[in-house]
Amino acid sequence: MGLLPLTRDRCRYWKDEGVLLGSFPFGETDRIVTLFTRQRGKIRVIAKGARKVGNRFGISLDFFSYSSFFLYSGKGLPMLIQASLQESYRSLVNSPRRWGAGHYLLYLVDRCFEMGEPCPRIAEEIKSGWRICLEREDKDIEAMLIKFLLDLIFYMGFTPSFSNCIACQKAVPSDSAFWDNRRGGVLCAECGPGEMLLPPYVLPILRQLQLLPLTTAATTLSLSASQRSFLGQFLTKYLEHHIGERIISWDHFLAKIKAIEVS
Amino acid sequence: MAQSYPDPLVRLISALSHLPGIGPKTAQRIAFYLVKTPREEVGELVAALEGIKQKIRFCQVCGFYSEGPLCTICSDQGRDRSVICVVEQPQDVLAVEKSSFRGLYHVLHGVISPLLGAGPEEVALDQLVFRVREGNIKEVILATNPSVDGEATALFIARKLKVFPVRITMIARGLPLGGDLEFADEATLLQAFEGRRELHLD
Ligand SMILES: [Zn+2]
Ligand SMILES: [Zn+2]
Repeated sequence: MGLLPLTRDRCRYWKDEGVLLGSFPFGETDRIVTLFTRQRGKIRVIAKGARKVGNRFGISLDFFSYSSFFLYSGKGLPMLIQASLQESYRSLVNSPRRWGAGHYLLYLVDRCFEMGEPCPRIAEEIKSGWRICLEREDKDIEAMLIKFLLDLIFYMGFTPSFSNCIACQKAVPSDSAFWDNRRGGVLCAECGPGEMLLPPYVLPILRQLQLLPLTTAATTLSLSASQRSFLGQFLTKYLEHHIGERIISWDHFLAKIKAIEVS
Repeated sequence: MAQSYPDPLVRLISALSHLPGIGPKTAQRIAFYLVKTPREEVGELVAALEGIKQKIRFCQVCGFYSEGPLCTICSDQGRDRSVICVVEQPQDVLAVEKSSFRGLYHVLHGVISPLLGAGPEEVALDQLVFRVREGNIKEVILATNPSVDGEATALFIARKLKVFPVRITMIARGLPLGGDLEFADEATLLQAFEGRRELHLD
């Protein structure tokens, strides 16, 4: 992790790789783009000429592309000098739901990270997530989104306790577990009352999800629609509490997408 | 920023910095320039600004800029009224006019984007469906930007329209991917329109 040694010297050029989180037009022909890169996390850079048709960045500077970047930091915003496509997941556009899920990963990353907090694992997981969005069925995609939320929570350092009571340290059985967002974890039957009682399936699933990699989490666990919906909202709420920002849940996002699917 | 400047100047700088593509530094530069500009010239600018707010609106049919209820394109009887070209922004109309296209337009005023919170209801889509249902439309050409969201929006519109007996085409993505349609040159646009292909959705 951290910056390339290059940047400590006078040389202000650096190579990086990652994805586009968003962009807006700047001046006549430029764009200001927000990238999420392996080395620097979320950064805002200027892409000169990116509004011109046939510009040198092309597809490598669009959503659902994982690209290598060559950048320069001088005065003001860093400048994107070159971008080349490594992997494209562009065919996500062919299905509103896959396209929406692909965007949702970007939305979560953009929402959760402050500028300049590198997290190479998450950059990697965006790619894996997109691949799942392209290749798997809806239920697997939703399970992947839950695992992605859990990983975001982990990498941001907010991992809650899913096993021992955060008040008295006793092991908590899954059928009488209470939840405290603020203190970040489960509470036992004695310490818990007053807080939310968790449905009995929640803790075993979350513990298992913690251990599985993103790529297999989706297929290993078979979750019902209501379980996916509960877990998605539960983790979104938790994350929301810890980053102090509102986060739209996948269910909510999906409602918009569904309006597109109906024809 | 600019705490020590007189209030009217601060107000101007702040108003200018809300304009797209103008940061606080550029806003300051423009403001200082305007302070030195002769009164008549500034008057001209003020009149132009008031003019757009009083006289310019969006065409009720296609969403392009207009002075009356209908824009000059929609009210031009010499144009081919059986073809509609769908674009993202009003400025794209001017770009497409550089090609040989002489039909009508439909301006979406955006793309469908769950990230920006723009759903199908936010882009002017019902109006397009209405036009296709009511009018004698033979072809709808989708000319959104060659970006992921532009393409997703085009495909979504195609899905919405496939129930109607109308030919749906998408301009050729020989248009190099990336960039805004607004900045495409004549030759590129001509090629893009001539090479448009029919969309077959399952
Ligand atoms: Zn306890
Ligand atoms: Zn019109």
